[in-house]
Amino acid sequence: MTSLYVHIPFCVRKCAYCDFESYPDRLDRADEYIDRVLGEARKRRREYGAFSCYSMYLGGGTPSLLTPGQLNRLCGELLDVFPPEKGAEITLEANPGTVTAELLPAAVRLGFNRISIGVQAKQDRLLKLLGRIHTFPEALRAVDMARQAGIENINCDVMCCLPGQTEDELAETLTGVMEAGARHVSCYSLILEEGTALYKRVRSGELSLPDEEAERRQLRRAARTLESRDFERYEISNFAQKGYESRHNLVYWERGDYLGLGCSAHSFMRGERFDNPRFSRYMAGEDGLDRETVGRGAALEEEILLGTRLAKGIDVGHIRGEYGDPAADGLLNCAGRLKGLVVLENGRLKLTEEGFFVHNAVVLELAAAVQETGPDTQRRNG
Amino acid sequence: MTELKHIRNFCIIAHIDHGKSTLADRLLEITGVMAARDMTSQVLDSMELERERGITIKSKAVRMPYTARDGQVYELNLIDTPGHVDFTYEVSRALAACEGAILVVDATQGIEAQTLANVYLALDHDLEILPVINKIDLPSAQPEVVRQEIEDEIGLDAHDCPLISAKMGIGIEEVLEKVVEVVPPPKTDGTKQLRALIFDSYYDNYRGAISSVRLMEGSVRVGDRIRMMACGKEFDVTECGAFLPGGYLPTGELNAGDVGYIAASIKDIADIRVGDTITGADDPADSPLPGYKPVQPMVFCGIYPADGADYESLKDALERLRLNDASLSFEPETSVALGYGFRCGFLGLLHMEIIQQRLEREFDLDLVTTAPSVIYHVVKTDGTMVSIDNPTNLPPINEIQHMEEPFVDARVIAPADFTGAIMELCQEKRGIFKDMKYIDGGRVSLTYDLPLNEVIYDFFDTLKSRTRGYASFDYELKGYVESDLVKLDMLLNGEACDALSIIVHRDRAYARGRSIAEKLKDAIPRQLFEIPIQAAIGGKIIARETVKALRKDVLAKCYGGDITRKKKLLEKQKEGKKRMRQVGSVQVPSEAFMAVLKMDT
Repeated sequence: MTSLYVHIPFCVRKCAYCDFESYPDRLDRADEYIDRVLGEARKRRREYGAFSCYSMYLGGGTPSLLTPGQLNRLCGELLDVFPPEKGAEITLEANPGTVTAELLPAAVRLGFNRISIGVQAKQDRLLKLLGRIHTFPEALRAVDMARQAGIENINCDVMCCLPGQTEDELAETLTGVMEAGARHVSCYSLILEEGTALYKRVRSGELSLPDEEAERRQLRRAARTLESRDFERYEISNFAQKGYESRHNLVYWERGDYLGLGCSAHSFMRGERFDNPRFSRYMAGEDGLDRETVGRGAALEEEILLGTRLAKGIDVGHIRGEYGDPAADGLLNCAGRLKGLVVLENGRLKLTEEGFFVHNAVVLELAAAVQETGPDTQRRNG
Repeated sequence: MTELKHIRNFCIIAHIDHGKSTLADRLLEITGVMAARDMTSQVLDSMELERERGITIKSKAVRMPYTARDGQVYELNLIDTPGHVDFTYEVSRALAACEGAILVVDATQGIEAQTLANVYLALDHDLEILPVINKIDLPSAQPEVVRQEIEDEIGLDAHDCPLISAKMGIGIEEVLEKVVEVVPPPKTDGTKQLRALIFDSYYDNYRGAISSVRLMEGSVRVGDRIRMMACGKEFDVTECGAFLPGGYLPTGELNAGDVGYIAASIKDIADIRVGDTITGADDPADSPLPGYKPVQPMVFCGIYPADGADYESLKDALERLRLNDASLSFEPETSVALGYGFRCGFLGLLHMEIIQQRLEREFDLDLVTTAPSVIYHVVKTDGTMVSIDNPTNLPPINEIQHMEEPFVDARVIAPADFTGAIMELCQEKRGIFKDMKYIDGGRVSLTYDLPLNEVIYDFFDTLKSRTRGYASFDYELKGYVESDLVKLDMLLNGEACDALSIIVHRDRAYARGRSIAEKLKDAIPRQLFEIPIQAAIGGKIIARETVKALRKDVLAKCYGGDITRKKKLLEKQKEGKKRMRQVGSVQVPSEAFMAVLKMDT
């Protein structure tokens, strides 16, 4: 089971909070870039042998900025190199300002069956603050277009904890996207990344972020709003109606294999993590750098870091089987200390809603607890 | 062999910054022992820290040949002395090796507390004192005022004292002439038995532990068997001679009156005790020279590696430092909060600071130090007395009849405008007023009895800030006084943290407890659960603060499977966590233990 991620580093305009690799002025090199990505895909097939893809995610940047022809050439060949398994989830990330009536049918013909639309907020004031190129009605129109093109599985990205955002505004945005037909909502707190326009404005004191308590109220309100319409929080920031959990995202959290193609893409293949360089170096032929074989200790840490993000949590039996008794017992002991933040249910260790608020600190505690047991020196019996 | 009448053994004494080391440099230069071009500033201060801080920590000696105006060649032995109060005993031993002392007084500052303290020490040793007024090149110099001060305050005849500028090289030869003229040559009673005073010791990687000595009687040659009179150990002399700056001049023998070094393949620096007398093993002297006393540390603190894994490195480093500093004492101790470390004893606060800095700089160690403590005398109900240098070791309260704390005799000199501020400070520090004298039109000398535990706390820093740096300060141990002392414990989440306990006077306990609790509140990061911080005397809580629980702490989203970035963030936080100490259920950063040390209440 291997998933594919493809990075499209082009956009119309850089958003004020975005620190992903994306260029508003290089779309003229899209064809050249597609050639490069396809070349990389063939190289990886030679390296790993042929495999079918379990899911594919075309992300960016703004992949919906590609012309139908470019999308055809890229994905047609990619899915030829790595043919999709039956039931594969194939997602197109789209900026509502760029979705056209021509693009979506072309995508569906290629096999795309899921779309992720960056709605972010309902209020023009907030969209402007974020530097988005679209309005909320335009975003809803994109949702509608996707449904008309036959895509049922629709995700909307919504941001919270924005400067000046109220709880009601957040709830209105969420209700709006659910009413429009979203099946899945990713609700992320704004993370100020150094070097972004928003970071500078907050640092200078021009804008201020909501305080901790306000953030907690917003996140709680978001969860209640989504749950009221049967959206289940299956991951710390992701909510979905039954059956619409993102297969692709789960691969990341569950440590499945994924191959990242394109500049700045990340891969985890056969126990090894590696990254691609940024655009210029990538175009010059470099890829698959910083290879790191994930050892037992690191793997256990990843299990904790990623598994605790999921509502279903970590299977302690699996930890015991893979990493030995001390690791599993370390987790159980620590869970006992973290009352109210962590619960044990049916042999699984999961974070409570309170625990999700302080996910990072809980992970540190759990990681320290298994570290004391020395996972690297533990060997399975037999 | 130089005739006794052509030998002059002398030292230079001064208040810090009055120009002692610069004058020493000029003397070396003018006598040709060191060419000007070879000289880095402050040759005798060879330790990096000494140069940086402009202080002399270890005493050293150097031999200078000088052809005086009378045409005779003299052998001048300059013994450099530490200038700080912490090292009084070493100063005292160095003085005992001399017949005279150059007293350097800054023409812009006049007499300071240490000037007086050093003069009194020199007079105790019957030294001929040669006053010298330095820094006459400065626009604010008032040599005539200072000359009058020396005559009035110290009672020395200063009418023809050299007016010099060590920095500019003015009047240096005049100083040498005065040394020849004023400082008496060494006297010896002509007995054969060797008696050499050890005034310093240090460790040389090739020669082993080396004694700096002044021969009072007799002589010593390579191959002689010598005996340390205080400890009784015997060694064979492998090398002896005179000192050059930064080196040795082996001469094969030393005679009465000489200042020099003796090497005898001594492995352990502890076998050479400053103040001890070396005699010949075959024909020993009847009695040692007067004045040996073991060095007593006055200030103690716990030193722990920030990372427990560095314990062995810390131990090695302390052992290495002790090779050159016999006054440093340490023994292993364990703390519930800090793990394995050492209880270290120092001559004073500066000594403590210097050792900490050397450990950090020269050995690249990250340390956690606990609050400095003095030695308390605890008289128990059964009538016995125990000395306590670590609050943790205090006997149970019901076994304590009473406690005593050390007091010092302290002298502060400052412009008279600050008299009120200084008296207020001394009062705050539980000082007992003794005396006040006006030195000249502008300055006042105040004498107080002060509890040492207040002095080592933040007395000097506060004094400096309240007098805008103008005050000078000096103290010596006076004795023990019964005092109402209590042990102040800090509780984190209900558990006492041993490394944070201090012994304090009852009247000060509330303020200190509150202040420490506030400091800890700022220093301890928020954690998953609320942490009550309490200050307690016995079972009674006297102050409380709370570190609120973490409310939100979520890492950036994992976009596009970028797990590595997240792992790196986690790695960084884990590093931070490693530097934390576990006190019960609470993580305490190393800095928190230090934060308690520096306060201004």
